[in-house]
Amino acid sequence: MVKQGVLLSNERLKLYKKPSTWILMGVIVSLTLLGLILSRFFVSLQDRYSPKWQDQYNSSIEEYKTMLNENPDDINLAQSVESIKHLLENKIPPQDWRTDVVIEYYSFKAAQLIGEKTGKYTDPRTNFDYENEFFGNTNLTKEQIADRLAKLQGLLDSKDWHEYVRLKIDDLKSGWTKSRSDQEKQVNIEMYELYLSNKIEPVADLGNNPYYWGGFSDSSIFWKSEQIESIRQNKLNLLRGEDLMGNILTNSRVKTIEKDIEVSLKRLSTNIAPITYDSFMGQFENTATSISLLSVLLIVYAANIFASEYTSGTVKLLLITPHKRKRIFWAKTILMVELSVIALAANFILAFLISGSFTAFRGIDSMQVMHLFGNVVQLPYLLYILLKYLVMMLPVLTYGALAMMMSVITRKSAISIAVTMVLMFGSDIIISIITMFSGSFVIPGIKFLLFANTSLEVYLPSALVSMTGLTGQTVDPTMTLGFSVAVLLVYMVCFLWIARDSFCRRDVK
Amino acid sequence: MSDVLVLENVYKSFGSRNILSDISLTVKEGEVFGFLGPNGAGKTTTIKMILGLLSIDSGRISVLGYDVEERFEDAMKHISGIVENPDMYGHLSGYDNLLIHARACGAPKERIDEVVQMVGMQMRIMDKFKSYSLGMKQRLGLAQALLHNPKVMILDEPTNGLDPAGIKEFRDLLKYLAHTQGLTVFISSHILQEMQQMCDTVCIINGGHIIRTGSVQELTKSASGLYRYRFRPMDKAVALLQENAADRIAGITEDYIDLRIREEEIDMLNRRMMENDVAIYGLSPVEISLEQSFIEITGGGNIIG
Repeated sequence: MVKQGVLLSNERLKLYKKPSTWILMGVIVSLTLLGLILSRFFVSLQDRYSPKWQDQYNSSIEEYKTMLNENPDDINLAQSVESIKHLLENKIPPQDWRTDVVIEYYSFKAAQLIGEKTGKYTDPRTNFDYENEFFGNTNLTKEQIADRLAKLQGLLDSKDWHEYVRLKIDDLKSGWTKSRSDQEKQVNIEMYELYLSNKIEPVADLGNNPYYWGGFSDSSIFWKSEQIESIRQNKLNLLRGEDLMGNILTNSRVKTIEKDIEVSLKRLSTNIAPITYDSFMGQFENTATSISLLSVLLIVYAANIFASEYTSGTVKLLLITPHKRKRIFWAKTILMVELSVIALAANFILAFLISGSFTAFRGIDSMQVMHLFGNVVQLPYLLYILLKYLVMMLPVLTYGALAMMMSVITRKSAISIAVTMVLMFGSDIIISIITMFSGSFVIPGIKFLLFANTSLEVYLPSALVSMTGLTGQTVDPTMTLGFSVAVLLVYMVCFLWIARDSFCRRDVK
Repeated sequence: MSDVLVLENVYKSFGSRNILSDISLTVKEGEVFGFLGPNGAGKTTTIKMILGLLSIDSGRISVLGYDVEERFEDAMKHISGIVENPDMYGHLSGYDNLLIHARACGAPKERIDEVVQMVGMQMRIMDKFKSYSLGMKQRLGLAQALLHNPKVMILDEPTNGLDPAGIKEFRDLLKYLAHTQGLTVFISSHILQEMQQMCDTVCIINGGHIIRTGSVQELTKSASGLYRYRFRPMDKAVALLQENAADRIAGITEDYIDLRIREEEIDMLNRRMMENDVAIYGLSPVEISLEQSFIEITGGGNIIG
């Protein structure tokens, strides 16, 4: 151990006295932090230039009025204008549940007016009831429409969301809202009961609102109803055996969905909101994905640490000291791990400070709820980010071991760097192409390739992913985080073993 | 005197090419051992095997009785060397380079100042290694090789690239070390003259075979014997020599004649010339290159350049 320590401190002296070590590390760490600053910049731009909902409603109303001028007899258009007016006058923001009621009310109003004119009363719900099959143009009676209008009017007057939810449940039970199957009906009823039992005010479905295109609702306020809606969608997907895009659910997808449902329920019961992308933790977390940039640093130095001794001739000096070559090899390997830990720590601390200063360190005590090795666990978000950093480091270290092996075998740093980088980036492209088809067919055995296992971020939930809904995919849907970690470790050990063996055996010509 | 470095029937080949065949030699304590041979003879290969940089195909090498393959660490504690060039880390100072080696060899820090003193590098020791001249690099290499008080020091062509003053300086330093520190020095070279002035024992190697081992006197006696004469008048001298000793003439130019004669014949020749009114303006032994000495020793040919 003492001898190992002596050799390690020698290696430190050689590496850390090179200014280029610190310059390259500085450049790479700044690059990852630049991403953080840029994303912050775009978030603030978005905040500044995204229009207020009132402005959007105002421009919608103008648009509908112009259309109405061209078709003065169109009752639907006239009622649309009325509906936006109502929303504006009563200051109902798009996320408010009453928005759905208002839109439904005026569509029934239009149906009533058209019915009075033509004598034919048509169900207006064709276009926007997401829970159900399309009705087609079902005819209703005059009384049914009047009755519905009265109920909706009552809700608008009472402004009580409990009644709204109860109405929704009644609609399902009475068959007013039709379901695909009894099971789906049961799921929908259960979900509305969740609102009542957890005292959660529902949120309007933005996808139903033709007058507003504001994009995402503010998750920090409406996250509870979002969780319920995501449970509802997940449960319906499980019943149907396919997702909204029509992809058949595989066994592993089913498991993932079941886990997601568990996590959502846990969040509701423990009152832990998901992290938003623009929060302190959300921004900090996002820097973990740029850890893979550190592999450039590690590849360059791992390729150099042996090759440079050979090219400069100092290897002779190194190897005629009274130490086994094995010990010299490990000293260099440990130094490479140390270098990556320094870079990682610098990245972690700076990212913490920068994202914290953007957000005044609000939400530092946030919690994460996630599925980990078969259990739903809750842990401090800061700890989660640290874990994520460490997990993301694993592929970096594996590429470092590959570069080191190349460097020992070829004894040339340029070729080692080039080969490792080409393998890394080239395989990334190939793997992402294969991944696109992984839904339809899987190449047997491909999951054992190194390059199929290097994107560990696909296994780890993040605020960015839940905001954009773009979950990563693996080349084989049966792969798990544990599997990929194991594969990476096996590769790393192999690379190191080959490198050590070659270094200890080969002649220094 | 005990044997500090022993090579027994050592063989080495790179692929199908035989580099060394049946190399056996013994270096005794306190001697300066010259390892002589033209470029490509296998000198550096032998040295690298002694220092454990190359594996040994067959045979045995031991340093103070420790087998360099089986007891590498013990063997390396007693040996040091400079192989090919004194390569060190250019971005580090001379001191840092010595520090690295001292730590690896387990030499105390105070020893660094001692060896720096010995090679006279005090003024420049904190400068970066890459800023040194070749002479300084050689001296620093020597300092590094002295760090852990080795019993044997291996020097591979140490005067390569040095100017005559540098060579003399180096030679003096080496003599000083060998005589005051009881150091055994194993030194390789392709220049016979250099060996003559430094070494006690010389081993000549060519084409991977040991051709001859012996004391310097033995070897130079047989190899030498060429003298350059400048006579006046020249034509008379040439005529006289061609008449009486044509077989001794090795070369004639307008200025001088090279004669192959034994040392004890010089006096007689000089007298004979004086008697014939030929004046001798110059007489010097011709420096014999190793190639020429090979011709002498091996009876001509077979030099692999």
